[in-house]
Amino acid sequence: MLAGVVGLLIGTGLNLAGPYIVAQAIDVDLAAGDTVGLVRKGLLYLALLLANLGLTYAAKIAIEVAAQRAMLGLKTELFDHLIDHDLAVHDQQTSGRLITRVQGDTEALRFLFSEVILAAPADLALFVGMAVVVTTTTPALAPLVFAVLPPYLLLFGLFRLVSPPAFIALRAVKAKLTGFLSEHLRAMPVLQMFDRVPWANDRADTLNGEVFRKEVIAHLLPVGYFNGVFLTRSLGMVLLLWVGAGRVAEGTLTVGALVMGLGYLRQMFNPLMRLSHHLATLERARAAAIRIAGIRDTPRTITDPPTPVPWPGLRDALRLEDVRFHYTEDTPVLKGIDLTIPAGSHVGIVGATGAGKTTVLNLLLRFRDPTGGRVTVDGVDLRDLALDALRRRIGLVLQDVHLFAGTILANLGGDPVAARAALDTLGVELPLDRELIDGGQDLSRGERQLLTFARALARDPEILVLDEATSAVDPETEQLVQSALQRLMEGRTTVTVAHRLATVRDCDRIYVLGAGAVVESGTHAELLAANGLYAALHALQHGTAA
Amino acid sequence: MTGNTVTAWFWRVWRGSPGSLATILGLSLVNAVLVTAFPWLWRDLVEEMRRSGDPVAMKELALWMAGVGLAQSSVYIVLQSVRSIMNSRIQWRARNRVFEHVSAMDAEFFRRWRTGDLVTRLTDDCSDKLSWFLCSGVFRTVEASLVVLACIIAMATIDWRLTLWVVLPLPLLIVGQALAQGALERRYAAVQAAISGINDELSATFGGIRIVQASGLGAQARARFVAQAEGQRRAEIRTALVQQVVGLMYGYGWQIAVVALLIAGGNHVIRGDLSLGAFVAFEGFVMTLIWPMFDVGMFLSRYKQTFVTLGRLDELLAESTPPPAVGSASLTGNTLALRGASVQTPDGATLLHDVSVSAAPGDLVAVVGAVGAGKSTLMEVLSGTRPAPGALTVGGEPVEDLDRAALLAAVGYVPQDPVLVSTTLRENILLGREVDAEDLDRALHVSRLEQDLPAFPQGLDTPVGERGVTLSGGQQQRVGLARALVGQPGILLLDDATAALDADTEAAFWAALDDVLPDVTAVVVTHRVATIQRADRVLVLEEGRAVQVGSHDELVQADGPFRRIYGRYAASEQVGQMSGSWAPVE
Repeated sequence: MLAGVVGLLIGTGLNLAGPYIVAQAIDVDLAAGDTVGLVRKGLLYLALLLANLGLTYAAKIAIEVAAQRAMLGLKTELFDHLIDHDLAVHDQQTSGRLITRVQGDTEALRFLFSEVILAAPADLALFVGMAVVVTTTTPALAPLVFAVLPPYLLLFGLFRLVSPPAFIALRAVKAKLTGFLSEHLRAMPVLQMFDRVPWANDRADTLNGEVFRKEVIAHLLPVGYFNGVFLTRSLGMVLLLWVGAGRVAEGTLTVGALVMGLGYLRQMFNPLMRLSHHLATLERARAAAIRIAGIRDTPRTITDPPTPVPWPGLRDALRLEDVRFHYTEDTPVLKGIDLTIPAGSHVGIVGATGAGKTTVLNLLLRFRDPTGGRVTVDGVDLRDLALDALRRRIGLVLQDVHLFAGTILANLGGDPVAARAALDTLGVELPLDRELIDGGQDLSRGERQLLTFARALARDPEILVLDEATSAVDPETEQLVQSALQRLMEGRTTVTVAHRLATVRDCDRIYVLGAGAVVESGTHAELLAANGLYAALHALQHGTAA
Repeated sequence: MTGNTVTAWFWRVWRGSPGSLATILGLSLVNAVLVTAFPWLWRDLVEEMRRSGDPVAMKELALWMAGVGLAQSSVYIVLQSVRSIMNSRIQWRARNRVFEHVSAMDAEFFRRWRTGDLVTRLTDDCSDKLSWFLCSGVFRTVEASLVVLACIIAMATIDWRLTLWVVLPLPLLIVGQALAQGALERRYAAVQAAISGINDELSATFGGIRIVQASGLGAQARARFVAQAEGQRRAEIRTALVQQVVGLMYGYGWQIAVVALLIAGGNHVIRGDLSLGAFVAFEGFVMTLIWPMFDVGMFLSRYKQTFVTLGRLDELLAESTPPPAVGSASLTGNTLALRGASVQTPDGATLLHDVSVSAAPGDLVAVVGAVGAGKSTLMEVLSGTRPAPGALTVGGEPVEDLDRAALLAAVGYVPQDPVLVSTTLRENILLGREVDAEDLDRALHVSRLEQDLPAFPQGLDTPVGERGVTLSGGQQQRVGLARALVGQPGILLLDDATAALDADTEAAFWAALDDVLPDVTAVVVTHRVATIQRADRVLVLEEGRAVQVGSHDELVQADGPFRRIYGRYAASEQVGQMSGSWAPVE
C-alpha cells in the first residue's frame, strides 16, 4: 500500500517534468539549432513518460491488490457477524438488504481506498508541483496561471450546491415512475375492463414528462459546469498569451516558457476536475460505512449466558410455562401459553394461520426469547444453556427444503460417518460427494425432502422439531417420506407443527392454538369427540358429509 | 439483431425531430472549425512575437483567440445541451411507445409476461442505454470525427510530412485502446458473474438462516462464501490489470505524439522549413485531436452492447396487439347467456369445457368450486376479457357484434384482487372518469365504503399508499366494489370480491344493491354460505365443467359435489369464528 502511494507520487513528479522539457527544447535546442540536444530531450521525455507509465501502473495495481484484500477481510467479518446473528435481524432486514451490506457497501468503501484516499494526494501533489515549477522557473507567469483558480472555485462551489439536489429529485421521480409502471401494468387488465387505458396512458405520459424535465435539469447542470470550466481555461490561456506575448516581445520571457505555462494551465484542470468525482465517491463511502457500522454495531440479544448450565439431558419434559410473546407491544402473538412435551413423546401443535405455531417453534430453538414466562428443559431455562449445547440436541426440519450449493456431505454437516449412517437409516442411496446443483433442483422432490431428514438425523438429536415437514406430494413419494419420518422419529422427543391435521393424528398429544392461546388439547380421538375447533378444522380439511 | 432494425429505430427517433438533427450536425461542424481556429491563431501570435512584437497586432490576435474560445464554448454548450435533451426525449418517447403497446395487450399477454420483466424493459432498457446509441453515442462520434478531420486538414495545410509523422502513431493507439476496452468488458463480465454467484449464495444462506443456525452449517456456509469472495477478488484484480492500461493510455498515451512532434517537428524547425509558430500550433492540434480519437475508439468497442437493449425492446414490440373490436351494435338488454363455452390455455390445457350459464336482469347467480375449477376463467369470459368465440350473448346479441365501449360501460367487474394504485381513494374509484356527485355517493353507499370514510384523514382525497397498503383487505375490496358501481352497471361480476368483508357488511351490501340497482344482472364467485343461500341459482364447477346447477335448497338435497363444497365453506366460517383468526378454505 505504502509502496503504491510512493510510486504514484514519483509518477506525478515525472508527469510534471514534461512541459518543462518541451520549454527547454524550444528555448535552448531550437534556438541554437542543436539537433543532438533536441533528440536527447525527446528521448528523455520518452524515457520519463515510460517510467511514469510503468511506475503508475505498478502503483495502482499494488493499491488495488491491497484494497481488495482489505475488503475481503471486511466482507468475511460481516458475513461471520450476520451468520450468527439474531433471527430478528434477519427477519427485519430482507436478505436483499443484507446482501447489499456485505457486497455493495463494501464495494463503495473499496472505491474510497483505490480512488480517493490514494488518488487525491497524487492530484494534490500534481497541483502543488505545478505551482512550484511555474513560480521557480518563471515567477512572472505564476499569478496568471493562478488567476483562473477563483472563477474555477466559484463554478465548482455553485455546481456542488445545485447538482446534488437535482440528482436527488431525478432519482425520486424515477422511483415514482418505476412504482407507477409496476402498479399500472399489474392493473392493466382491470383498466382495460373499465375502458380506462387512455387515462393510464395519459398519466404515464405526464409522469414520463416529469422524468424528462427533471433529467434535463440534472444533466444540463454538469454540461454547464464542464463548459464553464473549459471556458475558464480558454480565457485563462488567452490572458496568459495577452500578457506573455508582450513579455516575449520585450525579451523578458522566452517562447518556451510561455508554451510551458500553457501546458501547465491545461494540465492543472485535470486534478481539479477530478475533485468533484472524489467528493461524490467520498460521500457514497461515508453512507456505506454508516450502514455497515449499523450492522456491525447491532449487538446480538440471543447469546450464551455468562456461565452456562450444562445440558441437563431431557428426561422429564420440555415445557412452555406461561409464555408470552409479541413483536410490537400492542399485538401479542402468544398470550401466556402452557405446553408440556414429555420426554420421548410425540406432540403436535396445530391451528389456523396466525395462531402462533411458528412462534412456538422459534422459542424452542431460541431463535427468539419469550417476552414473558419461560421455556424449560427439565426445569432449566433455555436462556441458562449455551446456545450451541441446546441447538446441537435439536434436529430441525422445515417445510421449505433448504439445500445449499456444495456436496451432499457438506449439506449434511460434514461428518462422513454420521452422514452415511443417516442416509443408510433412511434408505437413501445418493453418494456423499455428489455436488448439488442449484439448491438440489437436480434431485427429485422426495430425495430433497429425505436429505433434510438426513441432515437432522446426522446430528443424532434428542429432540426433533418438524415444521410442516411433509407437504403434499404424490402418494408414492408420500409413503416413502412417511416411512423415513417414522425411522427419524423413533426414540426421539418430537414436536410437530402442522397446518395439515393428517400430519399429527398419531401424536400422543395435540395442542390446538387459536389467536395466541391454547384452545384445547388431547389425542386425535379425544379432540374429535370434543367437537370443538379441532373437529371444525378436521371437517374443513377432509370435507364433511355431515 | 440486424442492421435494418437499428436503422428502423434510428429513423423512427429522428424523423420527428429534423430541427434537432440539423442543429446537432450543423453545430458539430461549426465546433470543429472553431476548435481548429485556436491553434491557428496561436501560430500567428508566436510568429508575431518573434517577428516584430507589435503590441497592437498581438493584442488583436489575443482578442481573436478570446472571441474564438468564447464562441466555441457557446456553440459547444448548445450542442451538448441539445444532445442531452434529445437523449431524454428519446427515452420519454420510447417509454410511451412501449407502454402504450403493452397497454393494448390482452389478459393472455399479462399472464405470459411477468410485471417485473416489463418494468425492467420500460425503465432499464428505455434508459441512457437506448439513447446513448440513438443519440449521444452516435453524435459524439460524429462530432469527434469532424474535429479529428478538421485538425488533420489544418495540419496538412501547414506541413503534410510532419502531419504524417505525428498522426500515424495515433490509429495504433486507437486500435490498442479499442482492443483493451473489449478485453476489459469481457473481464468485467466475469466480475459480474462472480458477484451474482455470491449474491445467490448469500441469498440461499440468509434465506435458510434457521436451518443454517439450527443445523450448525455456519462453517460450511462460511467456507463457500470465502471461496466465492476470493474468486471475485481475483476477477476484480484481473479486471484492474486491463482497466489501468486503458486508463493510462487515455491519460498519458497522447504524450507519445508530443515526443514524435518534438523530435520530428524540432528538426524541421532547425532545418528552417517550419516556423516556430507552426511548430507550437502543431502541438495545439495534437492536443485537440487526441481525445476525440479516443471517443471514436470508445464507440467502436461499445456499440454492440446496444443491440442487446434494442433486441429486448423489439422482442416486446413484436408481440402483436389483439385486433381492435369492430362490433357496432348497441346494447339492448342486460341478459347474459353463455352457451357451450370452452377455453384452453395456449399449450392446450382445458380451463373450461362446454359451460353454459345464463342470468337475467334481477338475477343473482352464485358460482362455487375448488381452486382450479375454472371460476375465475368463467368470470373473465363473462366480462369479455377472455375470448370464447360465439359462446356469449348480451341482451341477445353476440358479444363480438356489440359496440365495445358500450359493453364495457355496462359491465361492472370486480376481480379477486381489486388492484389499487398509489393515488387517492377518489382516483382509485373513478380511474379518471367524470361522474356526478350523486353517482359517487350512491356507489360509496352500496359498496359500504361510506362506513370507512370518517376514519380517513382527508376523506376521499386520502392517498392509499403503494398498491393500497394503508387499507385493510376489506377496505380494498370495498374500493373495488365502488369502482364497479360508480358506472351504474347493468351487469355486475364479482370474482370472490367480498371474501374480506365480514358477514354483516356483506349482507348490508346486498341489501343496498337490491335497493339501488334492483335490476342488475349479477354473477358472483363466492365462498360465503349466506350469499349462496341468497342466490337464485348456484353453478358448481369441477375441473372446468359445470357439474351442477340449481338453487341452494335443491342442491343440498341432491347427491353431488355441491354438498361437499358447501360443507367446507360452512366449516371454514365456523373455524374462523372459533379461532378468531382467518382460516384459508383450501
